[in-house]
This record gives sequence, structure tokens and C-alpha cells, in this order.
Amino acid sequence: MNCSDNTEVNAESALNCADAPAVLAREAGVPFQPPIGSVSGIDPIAEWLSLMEVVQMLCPVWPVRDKPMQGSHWRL
Amino acid sequence: MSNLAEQIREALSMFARNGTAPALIGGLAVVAHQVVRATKDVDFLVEAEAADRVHDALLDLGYQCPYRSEDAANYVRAAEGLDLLYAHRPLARRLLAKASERETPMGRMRIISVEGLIGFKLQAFVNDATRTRDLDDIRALLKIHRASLNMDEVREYFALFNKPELLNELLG
Repeated sequence: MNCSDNTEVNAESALNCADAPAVLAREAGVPFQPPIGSVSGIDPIAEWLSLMEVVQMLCPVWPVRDKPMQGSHWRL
Repeated sequence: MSNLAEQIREALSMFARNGTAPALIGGLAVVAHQVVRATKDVDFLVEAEAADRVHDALLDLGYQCPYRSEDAANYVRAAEGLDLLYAHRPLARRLLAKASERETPMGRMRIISVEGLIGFKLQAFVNDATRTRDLDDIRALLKIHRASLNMDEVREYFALFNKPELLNELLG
């Protein structure tokens, strides 16, 4: 269920949203953890793309790395 | 499809044309491992032997390369960034070899293991202690995947960077 859909709002959907804190957290732009496993049907990368569409609308110019990778501890 | 998704799709296509199969690392790999957060970090682990031809291909795609070493390279194109780490040590080669392939909205791509991702995040933090985002990512990955993680492998990475006590802190 997408709690942010701009569709008819009723008591039942409001209750379902209240029972789905992960979805609400996503809608607020807060990191969230989709249930692990294929049963949930949630693809985290698809969720990320959805999140980034909103982020890019709010923040069209996202700063790229302002300094090169640094450090001398390359051990992997 | 968003510009970001198109950028990744273009990069995957370029890698395929150049006969290399990198693995996704960095922030987007964190997302792939169930920690969904905002990031535009497009980072790949590439076999070191492919570094030159991938470099040329990225320049052909319009990227500029402000930094490149035997270990890593940064590429920028307007507001887009793409970073590469080169696998030339045994550990990174092993992690690259065992990266799993996954179907994504941008196409099939290989993704580093959770354990390996924690190792690379730790390396990034050790190299630049201002990158506290990396610690947050490690903490989240440990929390979500604790039950299935190969903790011996994770401990190996923290020992490699002389940070065994940090792992205990992150595990809480």
C-alpha cells in the first residue's frame, strides 16, 4: 500500500498507514528497512529510485564529491 | 526513468561493451542490501586489469577524471559522479569474484556481499574519518543482517584495519 497516494482517504486506510511505520518512514525520507526476503515483494533498489525522484525534486542540485578519495589505508 | 537511473544504465552498458563485470559497492550497494536511504553515490569495484579501458570509455562518455590512483578513481560529468575502486589485491579480487548478480530496474548488475561492503565502508572511514555516514551504514547493515552475516569474515576486515574495538561498538 502506498500511504502517500493522493486518493480517497478513509478511516481504514488511515489505520493501515498507522500500522505501517516502515512505509511512513520511507515517505518522510527517512532510511527504512524493507522486510528481508522475496515474500515482501519489495525491491529496495526500486524503492530507492522512488525516493530519489522525490529527493531530486526537492534538491535538484546535489553536490558531487568535492574532494578526491584520500587516505593511505588501501588494504582490500 | 530518472537521470540517475539512466546514468547507471549507461555505465552498465559501457562495462559490458568493455568486457568487464564490476560489482556495485558504496551507498547504492547499501540500498541493495535493504538499507534504503537517499544517495547518489555510484561506486563500482572493477578488476584492475580493466582500469585503462574503463577510464577511456568513461572519458568518451563525457566524464572528467579529477583523480586517479592505482586504488581508486573519481569521475564527474556535470552534476553526476561515478567512483571506481580497483580490485588488485587478493581480498578485493575474491569479493569481486563472488559478487552476486541481481536484476534491477537499470538492468542486471553484480552486487558486493554484505560482508565485503562492510569491509569497503570500513576502509573508506579509516581513510577519511570525517565520513561518519560510512559508520552509520555499517551499523545499519550489521543490525539488519546480523543473523546471516559471516561474522568471522567481518572480524577479519576490522582486524585488517586495526579496528576490532570499533566492531564491538557498532554491534552495541
